[in-house]
Amino acid sequence: MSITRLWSRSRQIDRFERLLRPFIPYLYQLAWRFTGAQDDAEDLIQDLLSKLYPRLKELEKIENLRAWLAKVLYRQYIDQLRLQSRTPVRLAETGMNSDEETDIPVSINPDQEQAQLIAQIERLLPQLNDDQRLLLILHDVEGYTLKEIEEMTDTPVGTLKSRLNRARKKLRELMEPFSANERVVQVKGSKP
Amino acid sequence: MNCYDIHNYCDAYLDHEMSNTQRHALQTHLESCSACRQYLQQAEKLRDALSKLKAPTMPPEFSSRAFDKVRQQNHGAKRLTNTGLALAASLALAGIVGVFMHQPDSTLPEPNAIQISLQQARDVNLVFNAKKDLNEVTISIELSDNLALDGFAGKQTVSWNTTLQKGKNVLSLPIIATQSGNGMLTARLRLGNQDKIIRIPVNAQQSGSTQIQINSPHNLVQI
Repeated sequence: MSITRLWSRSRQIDRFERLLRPFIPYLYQLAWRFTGAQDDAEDLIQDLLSKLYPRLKELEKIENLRAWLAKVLYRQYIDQLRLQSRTPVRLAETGMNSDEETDIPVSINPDQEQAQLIAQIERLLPQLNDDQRLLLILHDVEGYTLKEIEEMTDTPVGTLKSRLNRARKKLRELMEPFSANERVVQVKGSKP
Repeated sequence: MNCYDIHNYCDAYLDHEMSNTQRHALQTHLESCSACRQYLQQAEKLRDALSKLKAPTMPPEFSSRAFDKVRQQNHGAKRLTNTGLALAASLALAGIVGVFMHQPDSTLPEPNAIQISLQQARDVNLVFNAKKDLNEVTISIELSDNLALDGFAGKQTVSWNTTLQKGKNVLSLPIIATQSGNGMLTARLRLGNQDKIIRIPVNAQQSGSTQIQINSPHNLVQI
């Protein structure tokens, strides 16, 4: 039987859990946004926790732990992407197909319109390249300022601003076929 | 300003980052171009929709599962049910069931005194033998006034709930003596209404005195 220092170690893991547990729902949401899948999000957070555990004393001294954790999560995800050599077109096949176009309603109320728009964004976001997609998520979805993202990504604000505009423009371009389809359907629907 | 410009300046316009002159030129174009008005309107709706994207709610058990895995990776121990004190000692206790099941409340014979140096934390290892898995065992550690658990200064009694597993289980207590002299460490295990108590004399001496090595047979107190 090996004797281990379970007492002191367990105190360490308890301190670790008490410190980080409040941030897990937020990190999960962010990880899900990055990865787009529950399993991948969970794996990302699990890896994060495993890597951070030996750094407990350092964590306990960080003032804005939420922002720090988001930054580490982001960088870990980027590292993962690099390892996997993922390409921007990996989920291009998830775009709307011709069958789905027929589901666009002839007329929709504002709430329905926004729900439809959100669903379209969900489908189209993966078609942006990783830099654009992550920037849109951090800035337009999660509400980080460009200054905060600069610190998180080590990318100058000017570069981020240009990239953000390109990302938004790209997303709008991807959305255009749907708007066109909608208009066509509306015209058809308006006929007697 | 033409339609191409509108597409390029769209975000600057929505972010209010255009000069008055540029803004005026853009608005002038918008007055005569319904397509660009629609484009800008759509861009605003897109911004609004992006801010309303929601990720799925985290599975409720995920946090516990994630931290349990860290526990297992680092300590090979399972989560403990804590009873208020932010203290949890990982115990792999088992076999006590048999003791609890077949013996009434009992106080075990005192083992030989453990000697420790003043102000130096030393591990006192309690070994628990359990004949089968036990749930909801309450462990209490009581210390005389001249002793303390390292990291829990001022707390002479700590207790918590835990799950014990079949076989030998070790609880390593980092004991520190704050004053020299004879003291007592009392460990109490409760299962249901039954108690098992072990009292361990601890002799605290000035540094340099003879002391028992960690993990030597003398400071392995088997219960």
